[in-house]
Amino acid sequence: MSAAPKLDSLADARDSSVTEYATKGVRKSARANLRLVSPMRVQKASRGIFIVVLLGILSLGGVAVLVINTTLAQGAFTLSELRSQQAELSRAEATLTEEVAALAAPTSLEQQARALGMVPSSAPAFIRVTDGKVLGKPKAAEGAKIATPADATVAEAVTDPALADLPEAPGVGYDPAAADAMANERQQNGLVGAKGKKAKAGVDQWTEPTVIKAEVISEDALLDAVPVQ
Amino acid sequence: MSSRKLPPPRLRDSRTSHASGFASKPIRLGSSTKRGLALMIASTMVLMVFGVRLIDLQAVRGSELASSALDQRLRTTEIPAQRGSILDASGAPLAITVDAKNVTADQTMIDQPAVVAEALAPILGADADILADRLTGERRFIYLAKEVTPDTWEQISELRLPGIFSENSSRRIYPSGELAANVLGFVGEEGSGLGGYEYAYEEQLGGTPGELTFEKGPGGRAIPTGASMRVNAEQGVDIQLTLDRDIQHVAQVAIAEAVQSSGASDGTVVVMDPQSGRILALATAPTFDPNFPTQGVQRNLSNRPLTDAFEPGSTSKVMTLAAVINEGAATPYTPIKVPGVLRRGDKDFHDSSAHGTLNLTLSGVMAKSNNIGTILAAERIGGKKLSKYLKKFGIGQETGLNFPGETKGFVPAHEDWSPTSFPTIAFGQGLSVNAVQATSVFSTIANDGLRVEPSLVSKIIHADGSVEEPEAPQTTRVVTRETAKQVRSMLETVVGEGGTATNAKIPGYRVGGKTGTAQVVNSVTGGYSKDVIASFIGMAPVDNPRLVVGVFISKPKAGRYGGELAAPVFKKVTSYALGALEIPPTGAKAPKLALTFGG
Repeated sequence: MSAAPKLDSLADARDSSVTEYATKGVRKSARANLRLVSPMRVQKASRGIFIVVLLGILSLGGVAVLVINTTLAQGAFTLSELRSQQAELSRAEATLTEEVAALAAPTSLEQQARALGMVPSSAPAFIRVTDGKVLGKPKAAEGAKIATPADATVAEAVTDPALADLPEAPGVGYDPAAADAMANERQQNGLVGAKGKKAKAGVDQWTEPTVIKAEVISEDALLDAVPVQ
Repeated sequence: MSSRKLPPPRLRDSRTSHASGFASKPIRLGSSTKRGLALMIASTMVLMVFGVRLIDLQAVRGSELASSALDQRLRTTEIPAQRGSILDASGAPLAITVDAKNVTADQTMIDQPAVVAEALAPILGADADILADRLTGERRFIYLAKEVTPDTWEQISELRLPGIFSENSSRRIYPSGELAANVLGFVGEEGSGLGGYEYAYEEQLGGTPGELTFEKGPGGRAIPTGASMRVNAEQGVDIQLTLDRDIQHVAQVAIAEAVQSSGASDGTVVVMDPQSGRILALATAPTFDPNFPTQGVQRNLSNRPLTDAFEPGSTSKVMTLAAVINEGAATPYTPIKVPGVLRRGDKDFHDSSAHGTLNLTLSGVMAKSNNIGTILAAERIGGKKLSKYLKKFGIGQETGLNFPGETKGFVPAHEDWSPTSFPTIAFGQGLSVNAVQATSVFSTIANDGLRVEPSLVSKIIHADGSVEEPEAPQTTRVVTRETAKQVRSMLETVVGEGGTATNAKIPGYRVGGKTGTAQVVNSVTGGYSKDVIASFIGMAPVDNPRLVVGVFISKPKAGRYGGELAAPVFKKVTSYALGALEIPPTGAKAPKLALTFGG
């Protein structure tokens, strides 16, 4: 009961103020429900914000496009870099696989072993570790003897100037410090090498192993490709 | 926008209404309304056409059009599947696939073919004139060389020659060359297997190629954000064989030497582990290099140990005598009076050297490889039982190796035997076997009478690392343990003093085996020719056999007997294999079996 009059009074107050502003000289009772907003002010304010928002979206889009493009380009660069790296590595792998396989083939191993003067054994024999017993009848392998450094006699070794430059045997009056100094000196002079031959200091003594390459196959009879040396 | 455009007509309307008011022309007023109406109808109709078209494009045919547009942008490329390797028992590669490049050319881009050819010739190792020829013309695509190494292509690409391109490819290589070529087979131009296990396991080795579908941009490159679908390639499996590449190598070298020195047409070596049935070496000479299959001679491309059938001859006596002992009809000591000639059916049977009546024990019959003695012993059990034993030993049956072009040999059914068939088959003629079957007979004796089906594939390794073991080989009890033991001691006398194969002796080891010198059937006349197959099949150590080795030399010119030609090869291969597999001698002493009886 008390709420209703309160509401009425509020409505009256609003109505009167609005009506006063918008409609001067118009009868109060006829325009009771009309309210006028001020459109001009709102329009001005919203246009500014609108432009700012638009510009913001535009610049954001621009930045986004730039970022995406850069990322994609970067990705493409990385991709192509990794691709070429992968191609390089798989190329190396293919070459090495072939080399290893060819060198490890029994035919090649046998050749290398024979070059070292080894021959196949015709009588396999075993030593039993538990009691040291020899199982089987060991027999010297048959094959032609080839000359090796181990065959050199003492006299040859002494007269061979290359072999004469051997370190002194430790004995009476052996001075380890002096021996070390001498050894170092020899090493620096490059006197230590295969059979005492003078090896040039700083020069790599590693020699490339001969590579047996499987040949390039081409089914085109006219274009039989051969391996590249 | 529309709110701004609307006011002017209203203004104009008001003006015209004013004007009409002054000029008072009623027709104009009507026509302008009509015109507006007409305009509205026209634009509505145009809009309707647009609308209909829009609905048609978007709703009715929308998905269809979208997909066909996508089809225009989509490109599908094949992801090749890598062919699996073939490995030996230790996992060492026998056949592998490596990356390679095909060198191609666009002839229209090449202005000076001679210069380009000159630059390419030394790298490709091809003739410059031929290359220049291939570089001249209007073709947009032509192969210059196929399957060159990536290194070779690298050298070419460094030259920056115009119109020279490459294409990814792969190359099958057999790093050990001729090693086991007969078993491995070879691949053809397209990289698919055409012979041997390369052919038999083509599907598993080859794998299934995958597919990559992507949206391509104007340049042909993939659109990074576009749709893409990838079906991964299913890589080929690796096949691990039971072959030991070192034993295989020794066997191949030994048989090649023997074939050459004896002037034989070909030769074969089979090395088996009797306990597992695994074939450790399967060598034949002459052979071919699978890296260059087209350069090989056609008859050398086959795997003779499995594809060639021959009459086994005396090595077959092992089956006959084992059957006789197993049936309890005789023992190694049973005396047999052997006449010089034996008439059966309408035929006189002789021995390789003429003799009067001999007093041989059953061991003596084996040691001297006596035909008549074998016939007399076989008659103690009869043909029906003998034919049953032959079948159990695997004669005339598939070996189970599933090798392409394999023969299963031939034994006539017992019902079809003529009066001379039984004595002939008893000493190894009138039936045919392949080398693996013949060796498998001795493997059965070596494995205490239990036949284990031979095998060549030990496992199949899938790309994901999972291992598939083939089915366990079938085993058949052929003769008793005791029979096998007795036959083995008889086989030892063959290699011993007075036997036919003293050349097979390996110092320190007890070795047993049997020689064979079988006549070769003349394919034209159907009768026997002068040619023979000299063979020796043996085992070591004979008191606990770990290795069975069969050697077969076909049509030798110098020499004739298994003991002189095949036994030395057996010795070479077996002594190496014993060392390589670390099989020590048993150290036991050989028992002495009497070869003769009486005086």
